[in-house]
Order: sequence, then C-alpha cells, then structure tokens
Amino acid sequence: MATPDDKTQPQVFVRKASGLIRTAGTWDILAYNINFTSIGLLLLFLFLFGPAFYPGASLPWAAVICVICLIPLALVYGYLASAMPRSGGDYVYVSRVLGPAIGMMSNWNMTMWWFFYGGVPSAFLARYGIAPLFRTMGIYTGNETLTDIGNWFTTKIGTFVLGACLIVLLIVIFSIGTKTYFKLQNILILFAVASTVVTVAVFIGKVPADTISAFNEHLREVSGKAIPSAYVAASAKEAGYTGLAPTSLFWTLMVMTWIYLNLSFMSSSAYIGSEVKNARKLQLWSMPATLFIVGFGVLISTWVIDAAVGYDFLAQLGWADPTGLGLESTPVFTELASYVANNIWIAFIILFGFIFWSYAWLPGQLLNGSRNIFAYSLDGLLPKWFKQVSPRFSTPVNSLLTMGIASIVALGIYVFTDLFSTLVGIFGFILSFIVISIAAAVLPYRLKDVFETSAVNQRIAGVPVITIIGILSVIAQGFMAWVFLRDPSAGLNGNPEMVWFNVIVFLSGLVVYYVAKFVQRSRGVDVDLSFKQVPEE
Amino acid sequence: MPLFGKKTKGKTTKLFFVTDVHGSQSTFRKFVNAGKFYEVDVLVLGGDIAGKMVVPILDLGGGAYRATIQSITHELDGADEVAEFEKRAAKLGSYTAVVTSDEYKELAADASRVDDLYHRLATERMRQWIEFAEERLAGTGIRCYITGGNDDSPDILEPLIAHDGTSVIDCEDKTIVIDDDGHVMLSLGLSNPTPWDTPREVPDDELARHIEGIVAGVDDFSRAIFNFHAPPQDSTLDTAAKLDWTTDPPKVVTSGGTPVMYGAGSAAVRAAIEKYQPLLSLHGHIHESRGQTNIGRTVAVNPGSEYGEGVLRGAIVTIAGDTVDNVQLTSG
Repeated sequence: MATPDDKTQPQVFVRKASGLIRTAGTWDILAYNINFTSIGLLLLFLFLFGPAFYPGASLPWAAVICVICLIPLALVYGYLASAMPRSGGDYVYVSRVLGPAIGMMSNWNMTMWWFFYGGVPSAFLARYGIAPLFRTMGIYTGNETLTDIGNWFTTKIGTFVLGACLIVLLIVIFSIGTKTYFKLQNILILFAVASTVVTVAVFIGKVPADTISAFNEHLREVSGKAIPSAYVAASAKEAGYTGLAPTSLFWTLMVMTWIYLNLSFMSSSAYIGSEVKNARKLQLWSMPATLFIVGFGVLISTWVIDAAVGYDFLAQLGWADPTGLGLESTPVFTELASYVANNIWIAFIILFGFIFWSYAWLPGQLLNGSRNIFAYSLDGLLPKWFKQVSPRFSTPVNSLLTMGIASIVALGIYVFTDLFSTLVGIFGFILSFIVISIAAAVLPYRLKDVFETSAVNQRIAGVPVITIIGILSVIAQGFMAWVFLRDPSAGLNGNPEMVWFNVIVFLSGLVVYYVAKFVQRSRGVDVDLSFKQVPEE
Repeated sequence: MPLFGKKTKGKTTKLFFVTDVHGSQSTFRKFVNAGKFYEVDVLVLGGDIAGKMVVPILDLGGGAYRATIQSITHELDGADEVAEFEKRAAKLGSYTAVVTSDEYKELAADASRVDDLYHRLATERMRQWIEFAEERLAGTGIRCYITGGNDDSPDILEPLIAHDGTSVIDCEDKTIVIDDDGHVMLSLGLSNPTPWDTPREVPDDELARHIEGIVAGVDDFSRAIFNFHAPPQDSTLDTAAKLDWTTDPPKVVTSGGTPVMYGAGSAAVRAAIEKYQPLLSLHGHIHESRGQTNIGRTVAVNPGSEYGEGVLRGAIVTIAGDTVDNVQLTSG
C-alpha cells in the first residue's frame, strides 16, 4: 500500500491507436504563427508612416503597448484552441458558445474583410516588392529602363495588373492543391527572413550621416540633384514638415495601428486541426510567444534604424515629393538599406527577399476566406455550389474562385479609388475579436461540459481563468477599436460613412444567416441543429 | 437547380451518422439521445468505438488518491472526488482503474498486464453502452447500427456481436436493409495501413477483396449505402497531416513550420465507390477531415470527430428513393 507521502506521479497508459501523434515541434508551431505576422511588412509601414505622420510618437513604446494589448487576445485564442483543439477556428468556437447566428455574424465579418484585404497585399507586391527592386537595380547599374519599370509598377495600372496576376496565379495553384505552394513558400520565406536580417545587419553601426551620404550618392544621377537629401529637406519643409516633435503619448498610441495591423494575426496555429498531444502547453504559449518574438524584433529594429537613419530623415522622406528624386513613390527602408550596403548583390538580397514579405498575407487570406465560404456552404448557410470540390484535384474550386474574383474587385477599388485605406478594415476585425473574447469569457457558463473536461479548467478565486482573460481581451480590443477610430490614417476618423460601413459589414452575417435559415426551413431543414447541443442525460 | 439543394418530396428515411467516438462516454450517450433529438429513423455508428488510454488512479491510502490526465496531476480526496475524476476521464474517452502503488509499478513494468486491463475495461464499457442504448431506444422505433473500426480489436466487439436486442444491431460485414424503401447498408470496419499498426488494418488489396466479398450479394446500388470506416483516398474526406512512421508515436512531418497534408484514405474504398456508385458512402477514421463530397453520383460524407472534447460530430442524411435529399453536418 502506498502512503500519502508517496511521490509516484502516475502516468496514463496509452494504447497504440490511430490518431495519437507526437506533437508538432514547438518551433514549427511558432514559425507557423510568425510567418503570418510578416515582420518585414510591419517594419516597412512603421518606418514609412510612423516618423512622418505621427509627430512625437515613440515607436519602441508603441510596440510594447501594442504587445500588451494583444496578450489577452493571444491567450483567448490559446485557451479556446486548448479547450477545443480540433474545432479549427473561431467560426466553430463562437457558434458553439454564443449560437450559430452570432458565430456566422462574427466570422462572416472576417470573411468579408478577407475579401477586401485580398486587394491590399496584392497591391503591396508592386509597390513595396517589385518596384523597389527594379528601380534600385536601375540605380546601381545606371540602367534607366530598369528604373522606369520599377516606377511603372508604382502606377495605378502597374499595381493593379501585377496584383491581379498574383491573385490569379495563387488561385490556380490552390485549385490544383496547396502542396506545391507550401513547398515553394517554405523556400521563399527563407529569402524573406534573410532580407530582414541583412537589412538590420547593414544598418548596425551606421549613423544618419552614413545613410544620408549613401542616399545622396545613389540618387544623385537619377534625381539630377547634386545633394538629393537637401532636396528632401526642402521639399518636406515646403509640404509642411516642421521637424521632429517632442514625445507624445497620443501619437504613440495612434501609431500602434500599423503594428496591430500585422501582430493581430499571431493566432494562426489555432487553425491547425489535429490530435495534438499536450495541446494545452503548445497552443497556450505559442501565440503569446509569437507576440513577444515579433515585438522584440520590432523593438530592436526601431533602435537600430533610429540610430542608423534617424527619424528626422525618415520623416522628411515621408513628407517630400518623391518625383523630385526621379522616383514615383517614397523610397522605403529596404531601399535605404540597399544604398547603405553599397554592394549590388547585398542590395539584391535585401530587395529580392522583401518581395516575399510584401504579399505575405495574401495566400493565407485567400485560403482562410475560401475555407470559411466552404464551411458556410457545408452548414447549409450558403448555396451548395460553394462546397463543390474539383473531382480531379479534390480542392474547393468554387469557393476559391469566389475569393479570387472578390479579391481582384477589391484590388481595383483599393488602387483606383480612395474608398479604402490600408487600415480601415482592421476595425472590422477588432469587432470580431471582441465577439471571440466574449465567447471565451462565457465559455465556462455556456459549455460547462467542454470547459470542465478541458485542459484549461483553471480558476483564480473561483473565477475561471478563461473568463478573466476574455474580459481583459474585450477591454484591450475595445481600447484598440478607440485607437483605430481616432487615428487620422486609419480612414475612420472624420469619416462616419466608413464607420457605418464597418458596422453594416459586421451585421451582414446575421442577414445571411436568417435568409439561409428561412430558405432551409422551407425545405424542411433546421440549420440551428448544426450547432445545437444534444443532451447527454 | 435549387440553390440550397432539392426540396424533399415523398417518402424519406432520415439517418444520423457518427463515427470515431473512441470510448467517450459523453459522446456515445449524446449519439444515442440524438435519435429523438434530431428525429431520425436510423442511427449509425461507423467504428472506432474503443478508447485509447487507461488512466491509473493511485490509491495512496487514507482516502487520498493521485491521477494524471491531460498532463496535469490531480490530488484527489475521498471517493466523491475519485468518482468525479472518473466521470471526467470517461467523458474524454479514457478508462480508469484504481490501483495501489505496487500494482501501478507492476503495470508500468509489464505491457501485457496493461493490455489485459485495457481490454477488460473497454469490453465492459461496450457492454454498458449496449445496455444504455437498448434502454433509451426501447419503444422509439429507432434502430441503432454499429460497426467496429480499425482500432476496435475483435474481443472488444464481442459483446456487440453476441448481442441479440431489438434496437442495437451489429452491422459489420453485413448487408442490412435499413428501411422499407429498399435501402441497403453494407458495412466494413477495416482500414488501410496506419503508422500505429492498429488491430484491424490490412493492405489496400486485401481491403479490396473484403469489399468485393460484401458487395457480392447486391444487385442494385442505386439505393445502397456504403458504411466503410476508411474514407476514399484523395477525396477531401481523408486529408491528414503526413506522419513520420519511423518514430513512436509517429511525428507530424512539417516543412517550414507548416504540417505537410496528404490524402490518407484507402485507394480500395475509392475504387469501390467509383465502380459501384452507391447512393451514399459514410466514412470516418480521419477525425480532422470533416466534409462532404461527390464521387460520381455518390454522396460521400465524413462527419469528423471531436470525441476528446465531448463534442458529438455527426451527419443527418435524408434519403428518398435513389436520391440523397440533404446532408447536414452537426456539432452537438
């Protein structure tokens, strides 16, 4: 007989049975999440817009505060993924906890914004990927044709044509199967990471005088100006730039919008459905860890680039008219790094690799959006046409096609009109994040069984930890919603039509749900049954 | 063509299909209760009934117990807490056994003892489930067809095979008429090879021979239902992470942080569906590959499984004559 002092830690006896697998490597889960946050693009936006249009903003503090605001959301996803590891994402979480109508509303809202955002990263490919590469190679080689090609890609038509081609290419690849894409992407992401590492390495130890000198040297010919940096200073002053402002808490908070744009998508591993052993540990720490790693990377980069380029020069570049430099758009920080490198091969590594950051969101958006459309159809909420699968390739071709067409239309709207700013839809995503956080908060009370048998059945002073986290996340995301409403660059401040548009998109899922319910009821099908809890007793 | 599918006309049969409950008490009880809840005529359980693990509860003496579940060790005080813990473990699909420290050490040192214990507990749970289903379904007119899966060893299925009740019917390796509209269901619990070397898996060519044996007596496939545990290969009902078979347990193959996915289903099952074109084809086995697809005229379904969370994944299928009127995937 054992005694209470016995230290034996009994372990379960696991039988050899299908489905029991070794956990995906911890680094693999982390890499999966980091891929989707696209640190390269995050830095590009931060340095392109931060110093210029957020006077007195502290970029390091913005990164820290943004990470703090996102920790509860990361934990919400982590806890929900641990409680329901095989459900595959927020559509099911919310539908189960808050009911199918709210689940549809919240997830439909995200899908609609995946549609709109299909246009945004496809435009980035031309603007921030291809154009900087071509024009910098043109500058290095003295080949004006290359510079002209680079500049053409920043024009509206150039951006649209290239973006549309990318969308079509990805839809074709995904329709054949994702295997080829992932194989390719796994190689391309290495080029992207190399680009960022080399960029930071090039700047380390440099001071603004070095960068400005390299800038002058490389742009002298193409700009036709003896001292291009002097032109930049004069042009910025003429446009209204008055020099660096004292540190401002308000603008520090406002510039978080650009960080949140990327960092809020750190929860991708929640969508990896499989029977993962120790899901609790893995999912719980991988999402906050992604935040900390990317946040730390941003923090280091802001210090290195401030030391090497100086926020004053970055701000001047943001205000100056780039056409006076012989460029059609403001040179981005990777172009500055490629000038500082003073070596065409290093410049090529930086700018070629950055191409694969520039559109990094797009594949995930197309896949997530098409998966959602497919799932709605599977649940009888959209016509069955959307769930048809290619007999040859076993892929959901119709939902992919829908996503592709919607993305090209969105690209056209983004490029040719001023209706949508880059940040405007993130407010919409935040509304869904708040619903997901509410679902987490009430999970222990609405799905008692699931909570009590789950690995996250933890309480502090009798209150479920997931409830506390959910409430904190609602507060933090509510605060971020306020930031997006106030930031002049987010497209919502002073633009009530766009705020209403966000609200209408958010609520549109309810209309789709109730129309589908009505149609299905006329056929004798009750769509509510899809998520209704069957009694156990 | 109607946008959301055809409107049901005439005489119909409504069946509710569930698979891969893996010992989960909660999921099985929901499955049986789903008959009345969803107002169906027929319940079908498509295999992998047995659980996957035994949780030893260490009796420390003096009313103190200790047990580990989901990687967390719990100190239990008294019989009530032990009962509560056992209930929780059963919901997750685990079997429990209260053991002394010496018994635990003996079990830990001898795999054959663990195997005996597992089989005893799994067989007992099977027996309890059959009794529960008979009791709940008595007088409802709902029939409950159950087949084993690749994870269910023959001895665990013995209570089912030996059972002679009115509502619960063993359907494995049989051709059974499930309604008075001439719909026949052919069931097979075997699967193609897996990395786990499970009790009832066979090479695809042998699986093909088993299938040919079952279909031999059927002339008209327009009203036939295949209830084959293994899904057809490359059908979207069989998409799973690729595994490295050389490690124990097998390890997910990843590339650049992304799991490599592939079709893990059976080529023999796919060939049979393509050849015979049954009305409906019901599958499980790959828990994460929930979905519905068409292979020629055949509507093929895998409702997936979330037994580990006590969630009942299923499919309500309405059939009428030689057509499938509706498939509704559920998550209850």
